[in-house]
Amino acid sequence: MRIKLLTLTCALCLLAPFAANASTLEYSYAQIFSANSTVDLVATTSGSGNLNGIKCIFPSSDGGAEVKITATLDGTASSFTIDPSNLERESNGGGQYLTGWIPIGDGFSTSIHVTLNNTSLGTATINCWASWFLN
Amino acid sequence: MKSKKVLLAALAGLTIPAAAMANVPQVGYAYAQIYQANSTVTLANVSRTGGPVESRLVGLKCIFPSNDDGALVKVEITADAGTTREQDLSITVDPTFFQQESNGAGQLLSGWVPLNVDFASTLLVQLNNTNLGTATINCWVSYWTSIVPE
Repeated sequence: MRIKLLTLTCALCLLAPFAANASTLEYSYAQIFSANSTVDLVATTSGSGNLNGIKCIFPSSDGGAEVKITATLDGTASSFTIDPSNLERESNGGGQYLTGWIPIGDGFSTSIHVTLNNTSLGTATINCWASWFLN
Repeated sequence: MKSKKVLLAALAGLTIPAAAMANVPQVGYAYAQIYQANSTVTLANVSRTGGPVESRLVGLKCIFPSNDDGALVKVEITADAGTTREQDLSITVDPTFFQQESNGAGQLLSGWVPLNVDFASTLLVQLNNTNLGTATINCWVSYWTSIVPE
């Protein structure tokens, strides 16, 4: 009887993570425009999930400004810099430079934090979005 | 006593997946331009060590000029070179029927092409245009690497 109860308890333990798994889809936006500044694209958030992708739009009057994306996943930071020079442009409107959605697809287990930084990268009004989910 | 051992073993079993999921992820983004005839340029050269690595070449994007004149680009991918897991892959990107910027330079756009090529330790992505015509072609890749604690 005791073993049966124990088996049942263990079975429930195994099911618990699935029952508690209520993923939320997240979509974040940030704009950077002040020289030598950093803004949060995804504020520090605890939990596990996946950073799906990032997209940025640079103005037609960009003047060579770039933006550095830093993704800190599970406390480990990694960065890349987006230079809009050779990107495609909006067909009308402002003629902005478009990265399109850059697929990232990287998972995290404990936390996520994504920032935009333009220190020594020139200044322009750059808009970025991130798509991510939390388990 | 036996029941306690069984319970302990069961709980230990439950913690293993969580420990295996812990990782040290890094994201990557790289760019290269090819414009010289019969040449090869490196788009991404990635090496990650420090433990068991799970990594993925996620996507590729190329932009061709409007005056492309039929020039193509071959994307050569070598994953885990020199290991038993080595993969040598390539695709040739032909912009003929791509969407085109409607003004500006009227460039031909591949958009982001999902690749999802997994690699464990090294990744080399090169652009090559040998006998494929010559144009100024810009390409980008995105990838991630992750060290999984043992």
